[in-house]
Parts: sequence; structure tokens; C-alpha cells
Amino acid sequence: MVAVNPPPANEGYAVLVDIDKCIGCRACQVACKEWNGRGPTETTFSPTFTNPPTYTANDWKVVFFYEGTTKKGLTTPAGELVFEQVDIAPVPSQCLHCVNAPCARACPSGAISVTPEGAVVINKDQCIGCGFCENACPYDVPRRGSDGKYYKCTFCVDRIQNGKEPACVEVCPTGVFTFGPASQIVQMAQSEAAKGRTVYGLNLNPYVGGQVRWIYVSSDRRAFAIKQHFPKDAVVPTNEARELLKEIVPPLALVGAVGLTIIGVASWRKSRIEEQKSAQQQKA
Amino acid sequence: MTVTISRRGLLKISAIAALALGLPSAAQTPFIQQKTTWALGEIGGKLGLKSAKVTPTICTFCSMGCSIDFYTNGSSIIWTSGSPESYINWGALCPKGKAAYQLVDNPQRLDSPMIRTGPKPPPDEILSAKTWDELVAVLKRYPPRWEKVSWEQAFTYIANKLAAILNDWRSSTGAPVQKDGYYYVGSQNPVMVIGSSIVTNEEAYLSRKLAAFLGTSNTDSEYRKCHSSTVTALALTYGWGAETASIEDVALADVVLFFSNPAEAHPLSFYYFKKGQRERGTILIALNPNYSRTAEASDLWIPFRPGTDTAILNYILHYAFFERNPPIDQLPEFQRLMAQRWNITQDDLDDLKAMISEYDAQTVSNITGIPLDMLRTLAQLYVENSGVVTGHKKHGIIQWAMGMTQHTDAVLSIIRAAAIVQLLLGNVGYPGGGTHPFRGHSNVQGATDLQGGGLGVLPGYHAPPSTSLDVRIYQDWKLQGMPDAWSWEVPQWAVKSVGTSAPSKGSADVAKILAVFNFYGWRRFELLWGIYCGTVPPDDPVNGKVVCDIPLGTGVSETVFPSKVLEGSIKAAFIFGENPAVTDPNVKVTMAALSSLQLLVVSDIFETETAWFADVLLPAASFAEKEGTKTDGNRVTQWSWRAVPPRGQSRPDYWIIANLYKYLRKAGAILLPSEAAGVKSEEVKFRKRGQLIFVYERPLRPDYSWDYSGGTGAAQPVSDIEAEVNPRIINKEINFSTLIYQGIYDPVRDTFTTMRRDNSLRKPGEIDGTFSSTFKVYKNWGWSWPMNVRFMYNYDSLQVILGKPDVVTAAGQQWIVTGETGEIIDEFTGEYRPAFVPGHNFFAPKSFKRRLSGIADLFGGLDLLTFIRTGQKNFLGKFVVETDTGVQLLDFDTFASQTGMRYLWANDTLYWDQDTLSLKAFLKRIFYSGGGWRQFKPTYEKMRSLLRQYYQQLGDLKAATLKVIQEMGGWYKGYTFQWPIHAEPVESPIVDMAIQYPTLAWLNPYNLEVLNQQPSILQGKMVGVALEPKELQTMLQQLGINGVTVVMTTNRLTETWHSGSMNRRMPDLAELVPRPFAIISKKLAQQIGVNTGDYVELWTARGGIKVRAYVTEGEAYLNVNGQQVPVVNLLWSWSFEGPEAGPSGNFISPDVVDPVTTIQETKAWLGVIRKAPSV
Repeated sequence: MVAVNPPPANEGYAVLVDIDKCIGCRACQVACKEWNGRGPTETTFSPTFTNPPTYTANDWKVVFFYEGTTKKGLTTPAGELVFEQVDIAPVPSQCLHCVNAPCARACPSGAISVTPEGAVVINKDQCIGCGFCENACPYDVPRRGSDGKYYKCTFCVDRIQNGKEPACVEVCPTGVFTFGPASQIVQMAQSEAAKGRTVYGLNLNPYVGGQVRWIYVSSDRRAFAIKQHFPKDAVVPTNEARELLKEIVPPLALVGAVGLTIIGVASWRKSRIEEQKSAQQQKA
Repeated sequence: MTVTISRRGLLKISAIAALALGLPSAAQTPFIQQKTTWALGEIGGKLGLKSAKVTPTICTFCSMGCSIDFYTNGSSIIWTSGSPESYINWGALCPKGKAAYQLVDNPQRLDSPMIRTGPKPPPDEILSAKTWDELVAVLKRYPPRWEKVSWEQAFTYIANKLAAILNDWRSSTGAPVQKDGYYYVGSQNPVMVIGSSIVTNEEAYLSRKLAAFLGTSNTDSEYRKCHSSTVTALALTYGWGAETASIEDVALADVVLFFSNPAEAHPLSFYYFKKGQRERGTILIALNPNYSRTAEASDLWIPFRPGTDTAILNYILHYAFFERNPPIDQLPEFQRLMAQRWNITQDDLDDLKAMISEYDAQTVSNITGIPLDMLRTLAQLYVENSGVVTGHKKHGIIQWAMGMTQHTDAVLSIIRAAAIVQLLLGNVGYPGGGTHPFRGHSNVQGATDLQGGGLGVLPGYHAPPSTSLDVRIYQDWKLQGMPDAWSWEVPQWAVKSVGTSAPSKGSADVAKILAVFNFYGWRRFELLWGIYCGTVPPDDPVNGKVVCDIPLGTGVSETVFPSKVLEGSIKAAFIFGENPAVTDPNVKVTMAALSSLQLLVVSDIFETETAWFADVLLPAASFAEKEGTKTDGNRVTQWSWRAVPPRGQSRPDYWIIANLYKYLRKAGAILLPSEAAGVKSEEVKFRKRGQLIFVYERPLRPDYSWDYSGGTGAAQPVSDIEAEVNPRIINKEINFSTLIYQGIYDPVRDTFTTMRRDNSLRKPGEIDGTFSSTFKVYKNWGWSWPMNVRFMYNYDSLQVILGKPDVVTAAGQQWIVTGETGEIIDEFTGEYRPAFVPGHNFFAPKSFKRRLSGIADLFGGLDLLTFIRTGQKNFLGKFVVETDTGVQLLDFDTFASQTGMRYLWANDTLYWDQDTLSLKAFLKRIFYSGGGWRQFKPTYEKMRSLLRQYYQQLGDLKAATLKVIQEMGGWYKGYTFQWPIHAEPVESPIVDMAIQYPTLAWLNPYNLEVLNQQPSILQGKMVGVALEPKELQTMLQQLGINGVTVVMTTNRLTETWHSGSMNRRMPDLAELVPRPFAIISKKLAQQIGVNTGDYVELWTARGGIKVRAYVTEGEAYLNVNGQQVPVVNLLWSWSFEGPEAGPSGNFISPDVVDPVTTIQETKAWLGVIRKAPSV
């Protein structure tokens, strides 16, 4: 068995994604493709402006756009002004690199490793294309490529292991992403939460290890996008049930198999005895 | 059938199932070695990164000036990223910059020169198309059928054809022989030279130089269609047409009004806008009918009706003068600025206020569709955060782009209004108070500068001689020893023409200063281009023959060019790196014109839509395959290095143009007037004490001036291509020929200052050290015109904000400065000293003083042609020194040792003092003869009431308009346009508004041609304008089209770029926005019954296109004057060529133009929208 031994939540790296700073330019989406040498995706008109409309095997990072009506505030010479207005909020998204990645737990071939940095990486040479990772992911991230193998964001593991920030972090014009040691980033996220900002990525379902390494923060104005973008609960219930069963079933299966073997052997012996008996009777 | 399972069978299945379930966790491949470490670039195939060569280039997209590092191995590109050291992008990039490498290795790149063999699409067939699909069908029937040829064949073909056209013109008109001499009248020349705003400064300069040598003033570029209105309106108000401050300024503002969309068009600007938000809580307000990504990033979105910007700006002043207490004109700072820095009197202010009084909140709300409370909030925020109100503790910025510039009232009203608001609120010239028109293309500022803004103006904005009399006055000026304005005695016979009220030596006014500014430019070009402009003999300016190699007069603009071709007066065109077949308004007229040319030469990296009509297509090098300088939108000039060699046979435009010259010359296409007159050299003489002193003989060497081969010292050529045509030599030529670019090369140290990539701030005590360190301005990076000034008109900001003047030690002296001075090489020490002391002010350096006035030719008579090529300092000129005993002629060494000015050849001894820096901003500017507002008001009322009366009588706004023009003897006759007033677009959605605020378009006779569908080939075609909804609806009903009338405007997105010729061919960008769409509001969508993604048809007086609808709450559906006015934003960056083709927005936009600069009105026009009938 390949042990999935993820580093603890406060070790390795993490990223704070402040969507208030995002101008939706999608440089991160392009930088991701370029760094990882992923080819173009054939697209058409996108009704949500998000394009491609979701992740593909070539688009590991996608900026999702959400439209909503929201409260805006403004300090004017006449005093504070609060008003409702339309807003469109971009949410740059990729694999969240769960602290305990269900995809890695689900991978039967050991193709998904979790590095000491906390990067959850599909190693394509070992990927057998079974799709268990896709089923296991609560964020619908891994995508099957035309070669039958699965692809997703690697946390730019080949950059962060060599002293560089992820490509999307580096390219961002407005500093949406803060990359750093997980302990520091989590602390930043907690202090943003304490200021009353909406934070996504802490205190999640144990299914993802209770926390992810790409933590999102937004003001009230853009909180609607966070709500729309992320699932209510970071869990895939069927897979969770399967994992529970996994814990129970193997010992039971062993017991069952042994039991069955005993029964089988007993029944074989019984039938052998009966056969022998009847043979003896025939002889006799 | 029933399935029966025996007990034993069930047991077996259970066992297998149990094992299978347990397998994934219990029986995973236990011995696999998991990969846990990766080398840099291993995942994306970039393992060569570590040993890669890193070359900084300047991005080819927008005007921010971001640096892109190319990581290469030989000619292959491994990776590109933002340069971490750049103070503009700090390692970041936008998606266009990030994907820009895809322009270099692109399968669609042209790799060989090509000559057309197929017939061109017939103009009449093009013009007859009513829909985009019909047009594409016509065009595709006439493909170019290119034949690949060698460069030599292509150049020879072009040269022979052009020589035939020009010789034909010369023999039929006699040019350049004129009755009083030898010169070309530039507008009559049948050649047009267009482009580009994307090439380097050296290339733009060379294309302008080529036009001059061809004898044409018909020169223009993309800037005509983007910011020509900005440049003109700002230059006429502040002295210069550029953005007033560099990008660091936006982080110092307290409030920003975006009449624009920089989050999409200039994403990296948001590094600094966000810095302001973070550090000082800058309030961002987005005025835009569309909820753009700038609106997303702003505190407040104010949707308004396109084309009503002036009304909004005038209301801001209305609030300031009439609603706030006390009114701003009672504030001491207002009064100080009015006395010291604006050109207005109390009477002028009263006249302005009389006009402003009419723009009360309700009136402006009715015009713009902005609710009252929102308008008031806007005005309060802007005025209360202004310099004049806060004593310069706070400032506001007006930031704009095409949304403001592309209107028929852009110069006279909209941008003038912005410029005036900034002045009156005390923002201009103070940190955080810039006037920020963000430019479009990567080098549009530089190309504008070095092509003089087009129309035959010379590099650096020196207007060409307009008549032969100008040349005579110029010759007299030369005889006076090339004096500055204060040393110039305007001869009696020239006073009227110069228009000066200070003709005598010792004094100067603006007219005199501007005349000398032009003369000074002509002289520099004479020296650097090896040509002649003056009289023969030079001694007799009044009666001699005028011989001038600089074409006289201004020429045709790019927007008017198509009609000149269709009329037959322009027969050939060169288009370098530009795509007017997509970017021109009413584009089928442009296509018809391009098809009608006898010779069209296009140089580009792809087969663009414009190339479809070309006779010869030349493969240009991409931005990363050549070197040279680019000037970003806020005037910072940076060097872009060559990262990889040109692909295939492609070549840099500098190589193409310089070689073109040689072939054109050989074929006899170029004939200089001085050659026709037999002038081979110039006898330089100075008039001293009533006598003419012979100073020196200057040989004319026009061909030598085109020899850019070789290069020494810092100008070592970087490859074989540059050894043939070296942009570093061209760069040096610009440094000496173009006053505002003086400083890009340091001849004392032999360094190119634009190559400086030092992001440190200067320290107090250094030149502009206090300014740099206090306001965080990166003055050690690159070079900025003028004289490395970053925040223009920054005359006294240190004094006003810090409360005391600053002391600078430089060139062995102490200097007391009050603002930003910039720097210039000192003629005594060769070190840098502050240039504009005590601070830069309006119009500087158009106003300057010159120590060598009356003493020596420019740069002391140094043989500059040789110097820039070899570094050898030969002084052809002498120094004329008057002594008690007489006039002495000294050589350089003697003069230099007597005066100490050993470096006079480096700076031409220019300097600025209180006289030169005392010019005031032209808050009041006269555009036409007539009176001020109060005087004009009765005429205005009469014009409106006649228009209403005739409209009611005739039921037709066009007929009523023509009748008013006839009856009143003109349009807006009698108004100077000294103040900006709101005027409707030509195609107004509300006829009452069109009558109440008549469009300014008819001030320009060209627009009347458009109105009357001239020239004749346009008659009966769908190419005109509809002045009101009723007219458009009637026109379309005849075609069976009914729908909802909307106000149309156009826009780009972050992912799209102008004509789309680049981004549509870049897979990573095409993926993000593959096709055009129209952005419509939910309310309009319901009205016409479409959902997002459904196809809609958009119809105008020019035809119809079909695109998908993008439905959102973020699009204006306004209540204007009690009427419902939906707005539609159309993405326009598509056309028929390349893999991602789509309907062109400009197929349906109008080609009416601004009366002053002829910029097109593509931001506010009328359309009819309906759900596309299913086929």
C-alpha cells in the first residue's frame, strides 16, 4: 500500500487568494497553460464569460465569473453611502490542494502523490485513467485528457520545489495570490476572518483534511461569488461512504473469506467424505 | 425466467465482492516508488531554463510599457515572463503579455515577400454589401493569390510602380517646380504613408522621413483613430498632448474618474491604482454604459449615455461654482492659480461661469441619463478631493481612452472639458492630479511623437512650413544665427504672418515662441537629413527662390484618406503594421478605397485584412526579433532588445524602410526639390552689424543620411541585419533631430539612456531626488520626454506640498528648485544639470533659450551626419563672436576654451529660465473666429429655434440642418469654442436632444460629404448616417427590418486587441474569447425575446451584422429625458481573416469625424436590434 502521508496543515505551502484584488484579467489562466506546456482548447461563446466553462485537461486554472446584486459602500463628503448595485466577481480557481487530498486517497495506482510542500500531484506516468480521483474530488477538478490520463494543477510543484512561486502567482498584476509557508498563510486567513471578511478554505469537512491550501478571502461585496463557487460541504458523499466502507470491509472481508474458506473446506471435506463413502458403498 | 443462485454461488459472489471492495485501500500496489521531486520546468518541457539566455523586450500590446523577459536557447523560445525588476510590471503580466510569445513562433507568420497575382475586389461590389455575410462573400471571391518573391524582386517591383506614379504626377503638375521656387505641396502628392503605432520609435521616425523624401504630407497612423483628439485638445491647452504624468501618479490620487476601462485595456495600471486604494483609500469611479472589469474593480459604477461626457464634466464645475459653499473661485488657491498659471481674466471667468450655469444637475441628468443623486455624489467626491479645495493635500485624476476620444465633439468639447476641470480644480501639475489619457498601442505615444502626430507634421511636433513665405521667414531667422525667440528680431515683413505682438529682440510671446520652435525643428532636420530648406541665394530671403526639401503644408488624415482615394487624388499607399481594413469606421468604404489604389504596399507579420487588398506584402519581424525604443503611454522611453532572430525571410521595419529608400532612389521615385534646383550645398551666413558673414559651407548629403550601416561603440550592430541597417544609429539621429527626444542618447558618455533599467529612487540632493523619493517616482529607469521629466507642468509642487524649495547639487553648482526639473547635459561640464529650473511648466520645452543664438549653427556646426555614424567630432561650423573691434570667426577649440562650453555639441546650449517657464495654460482657447459664450448665446438660441422650426416644417433633421447652415451662413457661426459645450453625436437617439444640443460635426465640410454620400461611388449605397431614430427605422423598414432602436457603442476586452490581427491568431487568447458578441441588458433581452447566447441582428445606416448576445444586468438601459434608451456594447476586434474570423463591428459604425482632428465617432451611434430570424 502506498501510504498517503500528507504534511500537516501548518507545514508546507499555502496560498491566500484575495478576490477583492482580482480584476479578472485571466493572466493566471494563460500563465498556467504556458508554464505547463498545455495546448489550446477549442471553445465557443460562453454564457457565463468563463471560458472554457470549466477545467479541462489543458486548463488547470480557470477564472470563473459570477454576476449578482450586492451592497457597495462609499465614503463621500456627505457621509457613508451604502447602495445596491450589480457586481461581477471573478474567482480564479484551480485544485485547492486539500490538506488530506481525497483524490490521492482514492488513486488505486499511487499516481497521486502529496509532496512535503503539500502539493497534490498526479504523476501521469503512473496514472491508469481510472477516474477515481475525479469521483473523489469535491471541487470537480481532475480532468481526463485525450491520452486517457488525468490532469490538474500541480501547485507548480516544479517551481515551488525550485525556489519559485507558482506561475499564476508570479504573473498576477494585482497581487491576488499570496504564496507562502502554510502556517503564515493560515494565520493571515484567520486574521482576515476575524476582520469579518468571508473566508473559504478553513474549517472544512474532514474529508479534505479540514482545510485546503488555497484559501479564498473576500469582502461582503463579493461574498456572493464565494458562495456560488464553492460547494456547501467539501465532501463527495458517495465517495465518503465508500471510504467508510473501506475501513470496515477489509477486515470483514478477511473474516468472511476465512469463514467461507472454512465453510468451503468443510463442505469439500464433507463432500469428499460423502464421495468416499459412496465410492466405498459402490465398491461394497 | 427467474435467476436462481445456489447457496454456494451466493457465498462465492460475496467473497469476491468483499475482496474487491477491500482492494483499493488494502491491496494498492504496495511497492511503487512515488515521484516526489521535480526539476524546474520538468512538467511543461522547460528543462532548458537554467542555461537559457534572458533578454528583456517591451511588450507589443498596450501602452503600459511592461517588460517581458525572453528565456531563449539560440533561436528557440523556452519561456517568457514579466521582468521582475521593471517598475511598471514587477514581474507580472496581463494575459496578452503572457501569451505574446505566440506571435513570434506562429504558423501564420509571413515568411517571404509576396506579390499579388489575383484581381482586387471591385469597389462597387464591396460597397453594395448590405450585410457582413454579403461582404465576406464578395471579398472571398477575389483572393490575393500571392506569389512568393525575393526581397530584391519585391523592392524593385514597388520602386518601379511608385516611380511611374510619382513621375506621372510630377510631369502632369510640374512639381516640384513652383512659380517661386522648388518644393512640393505635400497634400497634393498622390502617395499616403500610414503606420504604425506598434513599430519602434526608430521605425516610426524612418517611415516619417521616407514620406518627407517622397514629397508627401499625407502621413498618418493609428493614433488618428485613438487619441488624436486628446493630443490636440491637451496640446492646445497645456502645451503638450501627452498624458501629463507617469504611472506612479495614479497611486497618489484620492479620487479617479474612469471614462475608460483600464482594468481591461491596461491591466498592469491596476498595480498602481490598487496601490493607491491600499495606501490612501483612493476612490475609483467607473463611468461606462457597460459594467466593465474596471467597474468591477471600482467603488461606484455610473452608467451613462455615450457621448454625453461634456455634460458630466460641466456639471462637476457647476457644482464647484454654484452648489458648493464657498464656490471654488473664492478660494485663495484658485485665485493664486488663476493669477499665475492660467491665461484667463476675470471677464473670461465670468463668461465661463455663464456657460457652466446652464449645466445644472437636472439638465445634466436629463442629458446623460444619470440619476440626480448619483450625479451629486460624483461631483462632490471629485471637487472635495481636489487640489484647489484641499490645499493640495488631495487630488483627483481624470482617466480616459476611446470612450472620450472617438466623438465628433471630442476636441472642442469633451477633452477640453476634462483639461479645464483639471486646471480649475488645481490638479494639473501636482502629484496625484494628472490628466491621464491612457494610450492604446505599445508605441502609440512614440509613433505620434516621431511622426509629429501625422498630417505631414515633422517628428517632435514641428509643423512644416505652410507656405513659401514661412520658408522666407525661416531663412531670415537662419541669417540671424538661429536665435531663440527672445533673441529673434522678427523682420517687419514677417510680423503679420508670425502673428506676434513682440517682434523685437529681448521679448517674446507665444506666437513667436511657437514660430521659433518650428524653425528650430526644420534646422535640425536639415542637418540630420542632409537636405535643404531656405532661399537661393540664402542672402535674400525676400526675393530669392524658395527651395525646400521639407514638403509644404499639412496633408490628409487616415480617416479622410479613403474618400481621397475614391476621388482619385491618392493613388498609392504604404501601410506599415496597421490594419485599417478593420480599424477604420464604416469599413467597407476603406476596403473599397484600398481596392482602388494603384499600388498598396503592406508590411506586417501576418496576412491581415488590409493585406488582402495589397499589391505587395512584406513580411515584418515581430517585436522580439528586432531592437529599438518604445515610448509608453506616459512618455517613458525604454529599450527593447532583440531576443531571437527574425523568422523566415521576415525583416524589421527599419531594415525594410531603409532598403526601400535605396530602391526608390535608384528607380527615380524620389526627387528632392534641392536636386531639381541644382543646390548641392548650403552657404551658411549670419547677418552681423548689417553685413553678411560667411560662416561655413554645408554639403547636402541626403543619401548618406539614409546609410545606417555599421556602428561603433555603444552602437555596435547586434546582428548581420543590424549591420546593414542599425537602429542604434537611427536612435542617435532622433536624439539630435527631435528636440523632445533629446536625451535618449548621451553623446558624452556614449550610452543610450533608454537602456537604463535601474528601479532605485533618487535621493534628496540629486537632480529631482526629493521629488523621486517623496512621490516614489522611478526616474532612473529609461528616459522620459521632455528631458526626463515624469510629471509635466510640475512647476511648484515641492514648494506647495512640502512647503519649501529644494536644493540640488549638480554640474558643480547648487540649484534652487520648486518642482520637477528634469535634466540635461551641461555645456560647461558635460555632467547633468537640472533642465527646467525651478520646475517644468506649460509648453516647455517649446519655449527655450539658446546660448549660441546668433553665434553658431545648431550643435556648434558639428557634422552630425558623420558623428552619429562614426563618433568623429568634425566641426564644419564656426563661431561668430562680436567684439569691440569687429566680428571674429572662431573655431570650436578656440571658442570652447574661451567660453568653457566644451560640451555645446551635446546640448546645443539650450536652457530654461523664468522667461521660458512663465507660459500659462490656455484655459481659454480660441478655435474659430467669433465671440465668447455670452456673445454667442443669442445666435445659439436662434440656431436651435431655426433647427426646431425647420424640423417641424420638413420632418427631416438632415434637410433642416442643411437649411440652417445655408440660412445662418455656417454652423455654430460666431462661437470661438473657447469653452466646451455639450453637443449630441451625429446619430442622436432623441431628436429633441439633437435639436437642443446640435452636433458639432457639420463644422467640418468632410462630414457634409458623408451626409451627402460623396464621392459619387457612394451614392445609393448603405454607407451614410441616420440623424435620428425615425430616419433609421424608415430606412430599415424598407429592407423589412423592425426592431428596438438602441444607442450603440463599441469596446474591447482584456483578451482582445484592436483589429484582432494578433490576438485572434494567438491560441491562448482566442480560447478565452473566440468570437464577437453584443452586450445587452436583461431588460432589452426580454424586450426582444433573447437569452444569453442567442443570435441578434444589429442594423445601422451602414448595414447589418449578426452576433450572439451576452445578456447581463451590467449594461445600461437608461432613462434619458423621460425616454427609455437601451445601450448596446459591441465587441469590434474581428473580421474575415485568420482562424478566428467574425463580423466586424466597424462594418456598421459611422465615419463622421471630429471637426478639428478628424477622429471618427465610433463610440455613440444609432442601431436597431432584433432577435436573428432562425434560418
